[in-house]
Amino acid sequence: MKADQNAVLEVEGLDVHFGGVQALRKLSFRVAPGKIVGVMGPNGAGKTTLFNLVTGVYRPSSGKIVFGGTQLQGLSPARICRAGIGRTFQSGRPFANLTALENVLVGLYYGADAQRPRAAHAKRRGQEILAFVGLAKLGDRPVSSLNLTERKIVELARALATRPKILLLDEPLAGLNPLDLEPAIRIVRRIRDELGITVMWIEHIMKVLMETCEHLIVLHHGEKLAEGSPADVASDAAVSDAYFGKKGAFRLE
Amino acid sequence: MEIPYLLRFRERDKVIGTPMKWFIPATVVTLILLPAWGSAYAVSFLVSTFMYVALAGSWNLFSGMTGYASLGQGLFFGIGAYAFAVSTVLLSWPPVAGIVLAALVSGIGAVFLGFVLLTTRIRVAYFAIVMLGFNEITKTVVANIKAIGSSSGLTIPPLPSNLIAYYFLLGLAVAVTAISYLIKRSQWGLGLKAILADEVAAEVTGVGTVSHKMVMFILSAILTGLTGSMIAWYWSYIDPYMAFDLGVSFDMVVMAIFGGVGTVMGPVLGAVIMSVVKEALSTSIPQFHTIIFGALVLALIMWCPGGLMQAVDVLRRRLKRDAGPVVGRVER
Repeated sequence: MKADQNAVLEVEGLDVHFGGVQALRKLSFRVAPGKIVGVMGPNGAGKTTLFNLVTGVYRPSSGKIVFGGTQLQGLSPARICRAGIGRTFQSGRPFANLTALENVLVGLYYGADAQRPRAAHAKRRGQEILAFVGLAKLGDRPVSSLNLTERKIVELARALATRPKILLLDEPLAGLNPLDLEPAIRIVRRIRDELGITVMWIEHIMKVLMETCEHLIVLHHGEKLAEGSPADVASDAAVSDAYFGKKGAFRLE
Repeated sequence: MEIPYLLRFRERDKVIGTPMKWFIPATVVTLILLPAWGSAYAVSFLVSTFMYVALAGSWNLFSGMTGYASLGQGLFFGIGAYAFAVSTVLLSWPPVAGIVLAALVSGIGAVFLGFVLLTTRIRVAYFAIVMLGFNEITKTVVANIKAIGSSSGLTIPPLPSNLIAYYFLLGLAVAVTAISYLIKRSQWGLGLKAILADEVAAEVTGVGTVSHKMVMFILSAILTGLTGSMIAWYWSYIDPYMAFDLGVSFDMVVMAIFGGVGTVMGPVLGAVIMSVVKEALSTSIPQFHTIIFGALVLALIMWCPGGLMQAVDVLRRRLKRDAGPVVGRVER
């Protein structure tokens, strides 16, 4: 599986407001295929809102979201998923009433790629995906008996099972045991390197984004504050002002 | 991550275990043969039991499997009953046509209601109350239409034999249970479980939540309407207060929860036990059974949120001292 050259995500003039609150304002960017793109910004900057708009959970007030030549705004989340966009949630939302393998099966049965796999074949594929994320032994365990790290990885496996071309990860590292961070980061890297899936990644641990991403988008109060390579963003005055104040003693390295 | 209490119990993968493999067919065969030697009383008791199994099972097909608890699903029972009564009495249609019409009208009603209620992301609590409201509105409307007998109802020519109701409702009860079993084992059933757990997460995983909910809602309505049509014939008289009695709606919910929400055999167990309790108490102390049953349900649900199906599982584990896989265990 190699990156589909058409799988470019383009966001153009995206605006959304909830009542009087402008959550995103005239946001435009472009995600090139095969990249790991970090999305950062202080709390309330609109990062998760952006993911909710791209996956169809919210509808934009105006603006365009184009993926591989198709306009996504207005489509249902299920259609968007089948178009090749997978996602995970900030708090970790696997299906608690199912086993780890069944979670992955939902993705296999309903995700992108029209032909529905036969049950036996799907189970084998499901096990392969669980093995890829390192949960091969936990397939038969109900999610309710897993710890937070395992649940978040099950959710990641479920998203992978939908055969995404681009994967939106909403703070996959949040709440993880420090010891689990390195392996989790490795999985994200392998998703791009070995499966060729483009990754958009929200995270609060800046060091991780700086080290892993090739491209960063910084949001602040619903607007794009900066965009570029990690080095560019780190030296951007506006970014450090937003994070540390104008007279901040710290600077991003 | 908090787990809603309804999800804490996971039904065993083998819904029908080895002992059930012969027990269920044996029970069905016995019930088929029973009228040959059973008393008229036994037949009439079983007719109402089958009715409750079919109703609780139908409720479970939609509400139990998707998590959208409907507090007014009895609406379709009333619609089915009236469709049958109006077509056979006023239009002089043959009863078979009346039954088909009942299924049709219930289904169309569900398409309409589902379109209004299930295509948007309505909150589950609103859905429950709105359904209850629709039942009450329909009751009032029907009670005010002179052409269909208003509040004094309609008298229907009685069944040639009670055995027609007996076999029809037995078939319906078996069919509802079988449908529920087949759906739970299917890919479609997996999608429903995903919706039950987390609708938004299901949507972004590609599950067409609207189509899943709509199909189950319509199926549930048709089966409920069919039950209503046969019961109307069996009663040989209906008025709006019987047909759209909230008791029907509530019985469906309570029996399914008592037995085990979302499970295959739960609604069957719940309906059978409730019918027995009803029968035992209603002749001596009418209406008292509701208090007894309320207390029983409350006590059980506090101990086992998964209802009787979970209680049986817990007891089986205790008896066998079987730690077993974590699959059926309660998460607290």
